[in-house]
Amino acid sequence: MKIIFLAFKDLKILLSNKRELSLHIFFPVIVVLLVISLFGGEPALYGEAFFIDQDGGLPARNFINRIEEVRGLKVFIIDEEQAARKLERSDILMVTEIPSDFSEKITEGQSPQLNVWQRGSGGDTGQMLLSLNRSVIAEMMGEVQMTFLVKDFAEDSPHFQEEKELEAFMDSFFRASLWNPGTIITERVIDDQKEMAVFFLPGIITLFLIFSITFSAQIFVEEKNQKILERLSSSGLSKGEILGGKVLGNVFKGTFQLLILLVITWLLLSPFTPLTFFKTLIFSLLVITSISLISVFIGCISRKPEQALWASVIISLVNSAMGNTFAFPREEGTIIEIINFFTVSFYANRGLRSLIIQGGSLSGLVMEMLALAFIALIFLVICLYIFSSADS
Amino acid sequence: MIQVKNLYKRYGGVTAIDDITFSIRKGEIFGLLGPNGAGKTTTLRVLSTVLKPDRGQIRIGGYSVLDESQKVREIIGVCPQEIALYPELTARDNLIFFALMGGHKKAEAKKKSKEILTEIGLENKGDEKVISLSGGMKRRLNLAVSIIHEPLALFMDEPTVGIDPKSRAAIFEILNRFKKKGVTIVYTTHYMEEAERLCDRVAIMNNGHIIALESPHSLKKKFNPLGQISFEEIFLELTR
Repeated sequence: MKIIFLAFKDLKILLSNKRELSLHIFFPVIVVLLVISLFGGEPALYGEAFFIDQDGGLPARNFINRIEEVRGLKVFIIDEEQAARKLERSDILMVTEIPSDFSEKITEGQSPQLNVWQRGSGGDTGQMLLSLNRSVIAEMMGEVQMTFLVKDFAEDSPHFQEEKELEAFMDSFFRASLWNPGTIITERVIDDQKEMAVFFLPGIITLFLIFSITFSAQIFVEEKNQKILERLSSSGLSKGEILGGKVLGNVFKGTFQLLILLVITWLLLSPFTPLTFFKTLIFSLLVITSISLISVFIGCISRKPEQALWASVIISLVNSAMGNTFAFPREEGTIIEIINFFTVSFYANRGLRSLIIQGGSLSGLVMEMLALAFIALIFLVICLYIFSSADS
Repeated sequence: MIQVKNLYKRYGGVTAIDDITFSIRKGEIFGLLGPNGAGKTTTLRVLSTVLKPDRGQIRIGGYSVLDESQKVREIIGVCPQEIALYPELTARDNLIFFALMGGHKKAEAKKKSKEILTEIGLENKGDEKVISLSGGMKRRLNLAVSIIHEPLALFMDEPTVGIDPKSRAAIFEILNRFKKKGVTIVYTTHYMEEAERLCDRVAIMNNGHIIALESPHSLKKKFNPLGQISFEEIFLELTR
């Protein structure tokens, strides 16, 4: 019970400090508005498509090119081993394998087979890709069927006796059909800049949580130096109760900051359904807990508030520069990728991106949640070992 | 009430307390005097369970500070030299919060905070944030927080540093009231006239040792039978 009182006291102090409170509200508004204005008019990114090309033939390449033509979809060709590793680590939710007989079958007019590997339902992007794969295959098959029909017809005709001549004609015919399609679809995107801003939303959430919570470390140091923690200790609170109260206080403050962020982004960008909002909230609580323990750790090791402030600034910078907050290293095994594994934002961003952008489920984020829980546990053990309310 | 035997503590590479022994009776105001670095604050922090001694035994109210620190914490109050209060909370909220931490129920904590605000003369300042109170008011509140749970022994580290005469008088009044209730008070100060006026006995410390342990009256009699020099001059002579 004392832990709860201690934690609520921290929240009460935040709420009673109008200046700090206004920063918690206005900074997220400014950053979200900045992102919207910066990316206004930019094409939206819907997602990423990963392919294993076992065939390597021209029709297979043609198939991938057609997928790549879809606006906002980024295509990556990877090998089987990379695909297995990325799926295992939940880096990606779906891979499409083009089998070695793809080109042969499609040229003979037989239905080709595609193999799809996915985690769970493959997320929203995965579902979209499945349907896209089917329609592109159907389109290619239609073209092959038509070429066969024309060839049959041409055998009894004096024209197009040469096969090359016939193929060139069909090719120009299909190209012409692309310019004059049977169905004309007009895309009218309402507030297309929002889509891009939503893409940056996980990074913004992670960064704000990391900074606002680690920033509290200097308050912890001030309380230590002002002998407030010593007074709590002589009031009968154990080391665990004091630390528990500080961690929970940070969790309350972090959750308050998170709710402000989510409400602001919901009002400005509408990126959530009630379900994705709830899932984001649950996952973020775990992120907040692990950052809270890092903040308490900074408080334990810093002797002056300025040291704690610098530590929080550096941790926030490292987590924004690394950890896939705004940049995404594609090369595997690089130093950057290795450093990424040691940042909280790496796991936080992957989880939030999966939930908010790809519509993934919490069950698909077991690895991320375990990593965050592990970070929290490690820092809890270290803090319990090193914390002393007195500087003895 | 308090028994200290062969207490020894090294702190920051130096011997802060070097084999000191003393005992304090129930209801006594006991002064710990000495120049800076003499070991007063360290002694107080060891007695109040904040620091662990390297050697020695301490019993407070029958409980061992080393083995029953939790029991000891329930019967002691600590008033640090620093204003150990939350500046952004009101005076009342600070009192209620520390009463809750001391184990009081919420309703009881509210009642106690009201009583104690009157007792320290801050009944009209209860809803003001600590940050906006004067230095003297903060000192009084700092003391109030340490007595809200009605301790049997009170440890105070220079509670009157830099305050106005009115607040100092208010603090003395509170301490005398507590003494009458039978509370044992251990008090460190640099003001000799304050120690002379308030303390039943004083221990003068220098380099971690107790060099004199008597009532201010006996000390004056012993070192100044003709009454020509002040208590402060005796202190300066002893700690030279």
